[in-house]
Amino acid sequence: MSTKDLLASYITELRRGSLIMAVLGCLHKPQYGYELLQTLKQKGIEIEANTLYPLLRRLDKQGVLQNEWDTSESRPRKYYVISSEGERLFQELVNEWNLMQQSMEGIIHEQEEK
Amino acid sequence: MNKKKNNRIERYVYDVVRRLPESEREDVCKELEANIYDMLADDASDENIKEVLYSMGNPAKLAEEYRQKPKYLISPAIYEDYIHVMKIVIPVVAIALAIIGAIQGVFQVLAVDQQTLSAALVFKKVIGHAIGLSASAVVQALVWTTVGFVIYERTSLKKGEVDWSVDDLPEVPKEKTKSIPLADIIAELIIGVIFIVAVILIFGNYLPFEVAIYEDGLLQTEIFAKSFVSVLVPMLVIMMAISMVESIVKLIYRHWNIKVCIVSIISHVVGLFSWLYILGQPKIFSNTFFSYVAKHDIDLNAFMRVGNRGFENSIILVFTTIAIIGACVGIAIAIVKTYMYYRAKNKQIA
Repeated sequence: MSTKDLLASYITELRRGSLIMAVLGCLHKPQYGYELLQTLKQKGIEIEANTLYPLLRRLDKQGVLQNEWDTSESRPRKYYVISSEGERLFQELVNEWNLMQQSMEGIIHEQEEK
Repeated sequence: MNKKKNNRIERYVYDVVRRLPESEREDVCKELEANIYDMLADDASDENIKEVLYSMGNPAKLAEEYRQKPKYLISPAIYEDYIHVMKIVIPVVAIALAIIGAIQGVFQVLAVDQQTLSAALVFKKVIGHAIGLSASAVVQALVWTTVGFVIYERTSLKKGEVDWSVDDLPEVPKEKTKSIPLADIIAELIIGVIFIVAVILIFGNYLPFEVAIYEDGLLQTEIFAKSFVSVLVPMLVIMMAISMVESIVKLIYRHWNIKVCIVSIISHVVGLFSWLYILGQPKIFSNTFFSYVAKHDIDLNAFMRVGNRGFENSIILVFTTIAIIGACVGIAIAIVKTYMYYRAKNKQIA
């Protein structure tokens, strides 16, 4: 594996962990699949449609999200919104994220000072 | 143009959801379809649709995402077929082998000296044999069915990993033309294999349960005449082999058509004539069996009185009737189902 491929796979791995946080964070207001995909893109989060759609379904099944079909439009759409359990989970993740960020900054700065 | 676009997306979505558990299909189908339409540009040209579908990736992989990562021995994609097959195979095997076991038990009881015969002994022999044989056969059936499904899934999963093209997506099956349930076909195949193996093992004396009467471990008499067994076994194997060919043809087409119908009719006709040939054998039971029964003064039944061909004749009559009725019903079903398939198909074209 070339360095470039290696880097690509590390970056994918790095992003994957934070993906759920990004999704939960964006779903404080109800959104349907493609809408959320656009929102995430706008915020600079790269995610493929074929990863996001199954992920939404999974989170919904786990009770982290809630869904509702909107059939009032010409095309029915399934809206997802964060559940109260998801909200708790999100807060915990944010805490963890902050801790990690502190640690990482420590490590990175140490490196720069040398 | 508009119609073609719908068809492509419909086929893509179908190719994804057909790999999911039945209970999830409808919901995922609606949702995925809505999402894909949202992703299209305003003009929604055929090129645009292809592009979007390729960005969604291989349907097999997407289905895998939906199904969730954990590897199952039997994944949800085929779990329902698996359970369906089990529901057919297990009871059939259990009941059939229980009956065979009970019959063996009865023969063993007949061999016991009439004076020492007690209700408890009869119960133990008959029920014991029935349960013993049935239980071991059920375990075998469970194991081999599972192994078959695991192999099927592992091999078909590999196929899904190769490159795919939007032009190769399967057509969405029309609901009106009913397909033959996969589970039914697989159940037929499994029962066929088990039956052939059982016949060979039992008559080839590979099993401790022989079609013979023992007393204190000594062979008293074989039940069937040797000439009869030498006809019966190959004929049974041929019959089952032909009916398995029928199952395989069904597996290829997955619905009734002229070819499946013809093979099915051939299978039934061959089966019927095989039975008639088997039952037409001059001798069914061995001489020693008759003398054994006579010696022990076992009154089988008033109309089955031993010594003349009355016993044999009544057995021949019953089996011949069953064979003829079975063949007629089977052929009628094949013709009706084929007719119904073509009628539904013509309606769609019209």
